[in-house]
Amino acid sequence: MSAQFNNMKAVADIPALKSKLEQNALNTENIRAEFKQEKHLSILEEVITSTGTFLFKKENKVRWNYIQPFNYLIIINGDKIHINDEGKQKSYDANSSKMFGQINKIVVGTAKGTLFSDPDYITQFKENSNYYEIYLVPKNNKLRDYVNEIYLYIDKKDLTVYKLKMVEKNGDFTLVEFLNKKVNQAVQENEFRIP
Amino acid sequence: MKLSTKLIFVLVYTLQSLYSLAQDPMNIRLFEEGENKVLLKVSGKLLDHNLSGILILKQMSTQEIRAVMTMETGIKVYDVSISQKKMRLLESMPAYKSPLVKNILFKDLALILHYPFTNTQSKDSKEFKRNYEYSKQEEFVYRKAAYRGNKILEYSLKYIDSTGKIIHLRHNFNNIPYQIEYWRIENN
Repeated sequence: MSAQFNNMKAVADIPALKSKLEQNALNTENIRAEFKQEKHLSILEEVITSTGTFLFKKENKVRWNYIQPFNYLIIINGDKIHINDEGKQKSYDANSSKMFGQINKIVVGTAKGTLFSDPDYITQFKENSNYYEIYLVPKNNKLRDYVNEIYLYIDKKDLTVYKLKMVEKNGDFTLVEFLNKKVNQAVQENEFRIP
Repeated sequence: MKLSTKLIFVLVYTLQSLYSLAQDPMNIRLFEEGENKVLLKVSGKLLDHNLSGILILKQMSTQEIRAVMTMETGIKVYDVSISQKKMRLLESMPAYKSPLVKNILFKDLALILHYPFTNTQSKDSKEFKRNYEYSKQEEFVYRKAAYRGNKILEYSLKYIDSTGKIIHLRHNFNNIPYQIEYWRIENN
């Protein structure tokens, strides 16, 4: 991780921080952003980079659109997940698969910035002058087969998630950076329409 | 015919032959020259389950290739170590721990890997305890098929570009409800 996350110290007043983040989440109707995703694998010197757009709308609506290296669209609308893989379309019930259910929880919880309040995770809070770091460990061993640790970096300026880091058991990790965030601007309902 | 004319004719013929050999589309390859990895987009279906993501194949040494697949969201699907004669599942999502699914995965990976061959005739080879036949189907399309007796068990159609680089693979498993395709990802 870059130097911007150096000098992290434990947050002194955790209840006050939780209250501030929860209040901010209450006031956040939607978030639109671009994202850059990096996959770091121990077998590769290079990182695998994907880019695209991200849209969240309360309560549980997410549109995650990969543009590079190829088109791939994930729409989460409540309990429904729709995937468009370059024209091949498929819809799922999020509850039909435990894995999709958990991914849904992580994505929506990240977008809201409230994953820390999920009782399925052990949490630690740190901060430096610009960011809060929320460290989460899933309590469920099966979930830890996919994601062993999660780091959420929250920008102190707007209290939105700036970076998400998901670390696997062997140390490989996925880093998602959210860029050009726009909060509470016009969002069309049909952007989350599941065909 | 003058000797000098004959020499020119021989020289031109030799140069043409060498050029033809360099361009021989049968000299097909998965890894680019000087590269030890290839990234493939994956799209497939096992029973009702869709599979998609990115497969990374990396030549770790002359003895080992690693095959790591991740979903688009970055979550790892499997990590397989492939040595000259066998494969080992190092880690995976729970579904791949089933012997049946693991077996399908190993057969699938064996179809991707390409034994180099450079003549226009079919070539038989024994890899991972199975008999495979390599053959040309049409221009820029080659096939690697697993056989038992005269019966094809599964096969990979390998679509190449004019330089012999594999750009697309389409796999078919005759008796198993499993279809999968791979496309080369350039410049990631």
